[in-house]
Amino acid sequence: MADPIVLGIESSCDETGIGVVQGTTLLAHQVATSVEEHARFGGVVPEIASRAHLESFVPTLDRALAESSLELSDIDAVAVTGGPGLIGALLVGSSGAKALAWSLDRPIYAVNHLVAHVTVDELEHGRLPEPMIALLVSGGHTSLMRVGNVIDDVETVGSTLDDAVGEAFDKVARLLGLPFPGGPSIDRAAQEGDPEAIAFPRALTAAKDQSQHRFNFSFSGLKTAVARWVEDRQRQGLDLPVADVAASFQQAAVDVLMMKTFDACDYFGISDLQIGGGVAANSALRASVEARALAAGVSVRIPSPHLCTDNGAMVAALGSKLARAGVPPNGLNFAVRSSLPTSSVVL
Amino acid sequence: MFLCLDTATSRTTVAMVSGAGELLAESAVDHSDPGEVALTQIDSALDIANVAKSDLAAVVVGVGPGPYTSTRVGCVVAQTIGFTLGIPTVGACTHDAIALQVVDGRAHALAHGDDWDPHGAFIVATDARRKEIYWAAYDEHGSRVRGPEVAKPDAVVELARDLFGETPAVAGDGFARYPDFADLGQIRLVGPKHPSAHWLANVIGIDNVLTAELHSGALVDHESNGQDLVDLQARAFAPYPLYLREPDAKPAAQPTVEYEGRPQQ
Ligand SMILES: [Zn+2]
Repeated sequence: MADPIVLGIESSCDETGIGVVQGTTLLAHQVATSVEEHARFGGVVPEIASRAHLESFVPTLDRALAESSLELSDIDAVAVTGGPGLIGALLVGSSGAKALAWSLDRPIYAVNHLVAHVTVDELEHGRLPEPMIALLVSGGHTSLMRVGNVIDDVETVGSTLDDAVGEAFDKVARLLGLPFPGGPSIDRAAQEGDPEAIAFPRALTAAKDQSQHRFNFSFSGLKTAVARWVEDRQRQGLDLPVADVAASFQQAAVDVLMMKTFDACDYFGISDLQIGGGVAANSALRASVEARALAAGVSVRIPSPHLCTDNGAMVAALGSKLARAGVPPNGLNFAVRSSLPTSSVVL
Repeated sequence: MFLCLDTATSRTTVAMVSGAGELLAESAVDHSDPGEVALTQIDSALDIANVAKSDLAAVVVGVGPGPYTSTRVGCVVAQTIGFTLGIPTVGACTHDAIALQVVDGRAHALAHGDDWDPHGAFIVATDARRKEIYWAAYDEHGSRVRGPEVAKPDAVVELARDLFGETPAVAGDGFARYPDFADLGQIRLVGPKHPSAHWLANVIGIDNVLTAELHSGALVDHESNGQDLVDLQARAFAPYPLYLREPDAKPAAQPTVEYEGRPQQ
């Protein structure tokens, strides 16, 4: 029997994503983003995101079906992000998904967004290694996971205590007068800078943090350190070396991410690593991970940027995996959750 | 066969109405999250009315004004069902539906010799949170003469007095949080408190539902967010919430992930 065709819907933040997957084959991948509407606020505004999700939902669904050359009746199951995320945003996608599943008389899976980020790599690089360590880094996430398998054994072993790493990039970009989102603009500015020009702190890497926060992150101190440095400089009436600040900040953030990620590989004795989320596209991170992986004998998989950022294909990929494994679907009355631990792969 | 749905108040209400205007099934559930209950309600309404999805000819959805998150749930559900089943989706103002219920209830009361002001114009008011009220004013036939708008409760009472004289009649749950106004005799509460979905079809007119988009010619531009764009003549709206406030421009804190706390060495 052919693998089921699963339509996946993502709406946890500012991307309305709809993807279609059969087995591990990507049939459609459509994303509408409201990122530009948030730019002037320096971060995602929930009400603006929710309005945009409603406006984009049916048009994106329509485009995904057209891209897949399928009829609605060809869809065998619907998968949707059930959390974590912005509650108002999650509600648009999940309610639309329920209406779709109901109209088509098909099962619906409400899945964990973070686990979907991990699963998407299967569409590109084949079967996921088991077990593996997964690092998820974006404007909304900074999570380090031990993944036995994505169906029922995902454990968050570390996460950020304050800002997500992408959020720190956004805030520092704002300080430096660089455009939102901060990830790509800091990366660009840093190309011309010296990553060792300024010694910014590497939080939670001291020996005393090992017992409590070995795999946890903190980026608000780093952001504050950059702000202080910039203020000092301005007080002294000196020019701001934007490229050096960007490069030094970026290196500090990447160092902590890499230190902890490879420490986790070592600690759990796992030699497969996957990196996902929008920050996975960062060039300093990519350079650092390659060097460390080589030294540590770890194999690394990173999905293409269009699959790293939030999208519906990742949700469809996880839905497909669950459907093939015979996991029972959710009913039509599940409640989305803004907080959802990765131990809950399905709501 | 029309599927009617309203999620613009704290009550999620679903109805099945035949093309002849006959009410075949209706349900109402008080729930803070319409996303949890709407589809189950829709499913049982079809069951009770004993019709198949393929019998549906249109979806009519209440577009508020109401809390945006819950109103959006109704809109996305209605739009998606409309898209998936290949039938039109049309919006109706939730306050208009309550207004028709007021007029109907009055006709009913009069027929039974009850004491009810036969001339009364009235307002419909619903909870807008943030110490404000969504309201619209109606003549004695239930035609909207002002609004919908959003205002503080005392301003609503003032405006209603200006329109209708002392002690305006108020339907809807808008003053439920402000019992003093009724207790002090500044307003007179009349039913109903909540919309019933089947009146949405009547707002547009049973015969007009299928051609409503052509008929109204006055669809609200949902992207402009301006209350001045709520057309008093409009009965049919695009299936998007009536946004009477600008979005709060405060960026979100990051979505949270519960840390599972693996014990470490
Ligand atoms: Zn994400």
